[in-house]
Amino acid sequence: MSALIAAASSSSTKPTPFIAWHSLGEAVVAAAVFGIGIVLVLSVAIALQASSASESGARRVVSRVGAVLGVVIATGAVAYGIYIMVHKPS
Amino acid sequence: MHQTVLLVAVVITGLAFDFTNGFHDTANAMASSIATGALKPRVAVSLSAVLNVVGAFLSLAVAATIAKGIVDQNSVTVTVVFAGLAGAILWNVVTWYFGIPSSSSHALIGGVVGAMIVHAGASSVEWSGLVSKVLVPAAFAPVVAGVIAAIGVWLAFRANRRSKEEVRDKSYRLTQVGSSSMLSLAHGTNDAQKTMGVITLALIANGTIAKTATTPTWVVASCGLAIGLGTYIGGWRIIRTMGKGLTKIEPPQGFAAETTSAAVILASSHLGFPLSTTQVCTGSVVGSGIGRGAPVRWHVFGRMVGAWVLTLPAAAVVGAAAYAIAAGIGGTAGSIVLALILAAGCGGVYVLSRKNPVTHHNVNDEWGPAPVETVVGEPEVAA
Repeated sequence: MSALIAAASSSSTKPTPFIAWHSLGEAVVAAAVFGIGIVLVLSVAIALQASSASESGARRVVSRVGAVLGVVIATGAVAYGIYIMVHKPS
Repeated sequence: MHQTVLLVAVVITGLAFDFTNGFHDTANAMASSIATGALKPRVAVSLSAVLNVVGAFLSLAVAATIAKGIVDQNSVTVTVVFAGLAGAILWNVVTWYFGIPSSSSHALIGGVVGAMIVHAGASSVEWSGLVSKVLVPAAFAPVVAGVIAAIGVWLAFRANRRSKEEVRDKSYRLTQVGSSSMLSLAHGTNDAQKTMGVITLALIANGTIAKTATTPTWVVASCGLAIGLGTYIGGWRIIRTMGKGLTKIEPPQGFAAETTSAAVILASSHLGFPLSTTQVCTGSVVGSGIGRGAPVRWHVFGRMVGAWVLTLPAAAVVGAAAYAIAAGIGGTAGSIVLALILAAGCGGVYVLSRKNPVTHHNVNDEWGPAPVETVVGEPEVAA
């Protein structure tokens, strides 16, 4: 919550911005990268898994490896999310 | 004697608030999964309940303050907290009756602000803090979540434009179990601890525990169980609105909405810009409809926005009235009268709700006439 700065309580000579635009921007970018990134990675994984059923040989292996990789990345993101929950700022 | 009665009243009311918080916010995590059939309604709320309890124990970074930076902390009394909780509970119950998802945290802040104004005057409220910590994030939350969810949904359908629909949907239903579980866990870590902070503060104020003491285990356990029980009871009315009332949700949309909600909530709180879970999740659901090019019932969304605007002042009015009653009568009698009024109000709303019950049996019934086609995003991609 400290990222939102109340100008009234500031003792600084320089006026503190009412909205911490920089922090807001950081939050939006991080949320967009993770939110869109995870959806995209898992969606590609699902598409690869679905297409592998109609493929054969090396293409099938590549699709399946890609799908597994996507799931692994998403699992890592989940683990990082839990880490953030446990170590959230007080 | 009076202080002990007041302490007991605050503890019970705090747990009651956690309970309402649980059934009020189940929809945030589980409405999409229930709507798409990824989880059966009872299974969904059971899973969410367990994860809320686990979340309560996961992190103990409990803020031993309430409405920090919004009201003068030195003026907060146990009676103010009691009245604030009463205001928040009543607003939660009323919005539940109308099936409207609204922020429990904003209700609690509103209740405390109202009680503080009666107790110590308007100058005890840090209005700039109220605007920057509550109102500004409230304006951003649904927009940010909605845009990210819309992009995510568009990409999800784009990536799977050649996938067979049944194969695609089966996979996304599976991933929805994970994404909705993350939301439930995040809810447990965030919301159960608000009440832990309230109860801990009351215990410190009463001299029951030392100022330096950590949150007692029984407080952690009881708050976790209260929010878990509330979640298990399931706020079916709100789940129905979120899952069926806003837009038609398919599994890729549900997954994208839940994932972006979790990402927005975790990223923003980690970077010191916490947003309302309810507003983020609602924005994500609306965004998932826009991203799919599916019609959105804007009048339903409009009702929600109206409730969000009203949450703070309405809870403040109830909190102010509650404080006036408790302090006006004074002593043990004041606390008991307020508790009885609160119980009667909640009971009355519950009785009203029985006339038009929404349960796990009818939570997925069609909402009514299909929303008017107002294609905003990409046209639907053929499966």
